Amino acid sequence: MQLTRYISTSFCILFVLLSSAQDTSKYLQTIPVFAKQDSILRLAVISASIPHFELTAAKLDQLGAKDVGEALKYIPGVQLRDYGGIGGVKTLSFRSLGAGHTAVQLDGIQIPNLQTGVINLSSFELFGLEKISFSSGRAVDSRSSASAYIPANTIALNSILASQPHKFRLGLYSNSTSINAYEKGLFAQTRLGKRFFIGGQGMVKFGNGQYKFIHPESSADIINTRLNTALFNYRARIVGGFIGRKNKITISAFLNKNEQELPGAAVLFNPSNDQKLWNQDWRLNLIHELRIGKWNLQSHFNLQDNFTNYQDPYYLNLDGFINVVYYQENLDVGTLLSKSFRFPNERVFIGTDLVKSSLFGSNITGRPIRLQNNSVIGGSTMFGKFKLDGNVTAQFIQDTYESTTSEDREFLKFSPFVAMGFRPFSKTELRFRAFYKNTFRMPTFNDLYFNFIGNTGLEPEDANLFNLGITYGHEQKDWSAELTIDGYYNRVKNKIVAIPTKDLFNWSMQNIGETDIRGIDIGALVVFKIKQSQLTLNSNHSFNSSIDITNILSPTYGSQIPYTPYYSSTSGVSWEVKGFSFSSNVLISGYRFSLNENIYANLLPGFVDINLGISKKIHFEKSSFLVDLKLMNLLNKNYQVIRSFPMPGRYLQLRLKYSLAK
Amino acid sequence: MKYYYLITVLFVLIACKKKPEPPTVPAQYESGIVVLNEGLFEQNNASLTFYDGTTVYQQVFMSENGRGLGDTANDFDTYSFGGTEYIIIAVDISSQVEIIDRKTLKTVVQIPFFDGINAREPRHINVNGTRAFVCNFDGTIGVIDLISNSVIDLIDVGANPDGLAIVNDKLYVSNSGGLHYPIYDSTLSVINLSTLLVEETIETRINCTQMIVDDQDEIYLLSNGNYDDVSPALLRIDPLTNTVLETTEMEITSLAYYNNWMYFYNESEEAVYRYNTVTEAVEPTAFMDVSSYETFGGIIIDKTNERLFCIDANGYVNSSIIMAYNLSGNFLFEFKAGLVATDLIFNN
Repeated sequence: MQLTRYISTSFCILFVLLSSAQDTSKYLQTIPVFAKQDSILRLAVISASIPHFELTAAKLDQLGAKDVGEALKYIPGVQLRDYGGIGGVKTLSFRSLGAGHTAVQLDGIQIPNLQTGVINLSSFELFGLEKISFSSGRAVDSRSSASAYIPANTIALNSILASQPHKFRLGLYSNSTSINAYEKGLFAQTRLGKRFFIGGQGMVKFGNGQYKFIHPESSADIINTRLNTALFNYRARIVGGFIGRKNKITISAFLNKNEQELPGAAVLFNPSNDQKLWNQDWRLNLIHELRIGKWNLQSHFNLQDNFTNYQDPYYLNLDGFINVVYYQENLDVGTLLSKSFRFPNERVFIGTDLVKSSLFGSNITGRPIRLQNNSVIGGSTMFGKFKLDGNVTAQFIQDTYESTTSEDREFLKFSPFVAMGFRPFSKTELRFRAFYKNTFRMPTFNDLYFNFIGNTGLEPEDANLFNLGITYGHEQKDWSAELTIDGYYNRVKNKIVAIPTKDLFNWSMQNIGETDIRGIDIGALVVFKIKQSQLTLNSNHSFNSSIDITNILSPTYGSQIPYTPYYSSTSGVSWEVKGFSFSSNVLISGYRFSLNENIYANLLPGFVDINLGISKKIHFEKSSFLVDLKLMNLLNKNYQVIRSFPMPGRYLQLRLKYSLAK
Repeated sequence: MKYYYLITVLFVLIACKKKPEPPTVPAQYESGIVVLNEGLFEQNNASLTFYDGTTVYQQVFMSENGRGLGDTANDFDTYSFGGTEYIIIAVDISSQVEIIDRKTLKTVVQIPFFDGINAREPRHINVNGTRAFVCNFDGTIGVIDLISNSVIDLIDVGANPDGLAIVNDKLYVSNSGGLHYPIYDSTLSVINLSTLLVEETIETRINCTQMIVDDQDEIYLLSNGNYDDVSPALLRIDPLTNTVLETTEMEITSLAYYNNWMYFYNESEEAVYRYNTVTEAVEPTAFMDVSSYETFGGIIIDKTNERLFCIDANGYVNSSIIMAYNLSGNFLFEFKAGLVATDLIFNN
């Protein structure tokens, strides 16, 4: 039977990995300099041996972002693909590796999407989050399961609900904008006796989302309105748990219901858009953690169900409309055993996950099912002035689908990761870092099985990542500074792209792309403490050359790949005094091209997005109240991140937040 | 700072990547070739290219009118009225018919084609006298009076009409049903040009699009098949009896006609072949080998100068190349057009 073979293969892989795990635990007895924690931590984690950024709740308030996508665009190297509007899709590429190379974790649990391989970042609200981490090379959350060590980049979201509870916590949130988009949220968490806790969060997003814009391809005196943009979305999450001396159990359930209009591309002279989208998603997660001495065993069980319905009520086909539905189901069980040594971040670990995903729906050939075994073995150690970090993952994938001709597909891919940190002087916070990772993006269900376009012969996309960096931190009594400089080289082979086969109406997915990616990310931050106030200045700059090297005979050989600016930067200034905060954020993107050819017709001009904010936080004995007013897109330009998707112009955003903690 | 050097080098490197310059405009459009570039769906990048024999000027519609032509411009035709020559363009996804001055490329009028809020999607245009006939993908033929530049009639035809031909005061409309997959339409609507009524609907073959009329007034109709188990075919139709005289299954696409020869592209052979419309036979050897093309995109014949133009659509995502040949198939010259070039007009 296939399943037996699948399980036995999985065990074989695990065994091979286990037997190769040796000596990672040896260490010298002197206190390594990397064991010391950093005192300053503002955006870049300068002690990390990989590019690692953290956005805390306070920082997120300052950015004025509404969702995870908007917050992450301030991280150097990130390009946010933003389709605009309240229900618009947001995905990101980091150092020119597409969204399929970035995983999203919520409280250590990876969110799957086998259909498209990408997660819409606008579907994660910031309310209720304690922290967002972004890392390249490996996942940084210690709760990560084996699957989390595979992708190139990881977005880790930490929610308040899953963190160690106070006696009682309550939060209320409201956000209103002058572009008719609103959000309301509530969370509450309480302890039940000494060992149990329970909490819940509810969130609603709604509004017609309409905004005025000037189409970049039309004359400047014609003002259009972005129509068919209404959205109604509500989400609820419950997290409960037990914290014992050795055992910790967390159970969480999530429900998302979404009904929205899709504005589509802003087509010149044709405002008619009437497509609609419905989503219904739920997730159930169960995590058990057993801690005995320095040993830790964590196991999880995750179940996720997604339902999508897309309708175009007017289409020139036989029915006169389009109505498509998709059902996706993911089941994921896994366990990870780790042992820590002198310090919590010095450890060895081994883990494995079994994942079953299935997709069923319109335009999908043969009800594909994917069985996946993801295993990891790795560890990190510190000695003297060095820190070493490494792991190897093995992905074993078996795809089955109903078909008369093709056979089942199997893949086995190993991905190594190594990183090194070096701190030459124990008194100076100067560090050098380097990492290498090889990773594979598996073809998604759409790549493989979407009617006519899908190609069941696809191979995984192969990416090699190299990074070399310098970080520096300095702290004085009334000021502190940090600096990070990273140079990187990524090479993507067997890139999965759609190419036309017969004519403009017949396209197929093929493994033909190859990209050479080089760049430098620079980040600097200075904080001054002047009497009762604090002034923070930060600036990040990214230089990126991402060259298409697919075919030397092609007219686009040597061209910068689409939607990749040579230069982009984000900067911010904030001044906090007596509970008031004045802040401004500036995002600059250089020009880009909307297609492979670097010609004027494909040129998308650069843009500058500036926001200004003023907020006041009033503290009471056990609670606080925040009023935050922001002026977004100060320059009032309907710039396009994606061609034909103009962004809203200037608008106001008012947020109110109340939090109570006992 | 020691990294200052590094940063400077990087800036210099990036500055070396020259940002493309905005396009310039030619001194005249009286003599040269106007190319219609379809552009890509929902990219708002339909455009016109002008080639004066020495220099190529891209995006000339945008330069002359200060705005884009729109989204997915499928077809254009020419006519003259009151001593002025015009170009009339069908812009599919923008759902507009755009009339411009042929010698200045300045817009004269934009005629929207909507059914309430829904786009009718004009695909092809044929001008006859002072009327333009527009086949809309929503199953209608729009009749534009070119004196008042207004839509005077909408005639219901079959599903997704995608080809037009005029013979003996009759308008033939091929109903492709291209979006009705797997049940394509297989009819031809015949419209009387004086009454503007559908006189007859002829049963033909599935997924018919392009039509050619030869000097004997016979219609050649292209059936594209279903891209799977039904192959393409060429249909010969007698417009006097409105009957299909002959159906020949063969690898055929991109028809062009001149002087008793119908030129077409054979995809599996990657070659242009000729069909003699008098002997009704395909010339056994290929007229021209075009296997060096990335993506063959169409054939257009300049009847005045007896030249044959072929389009290399370059995967539809890179600029098309237009190649000119004489009628013996010898290469003359080539120039670069815009994205998905689809038709040419020759200004003399």
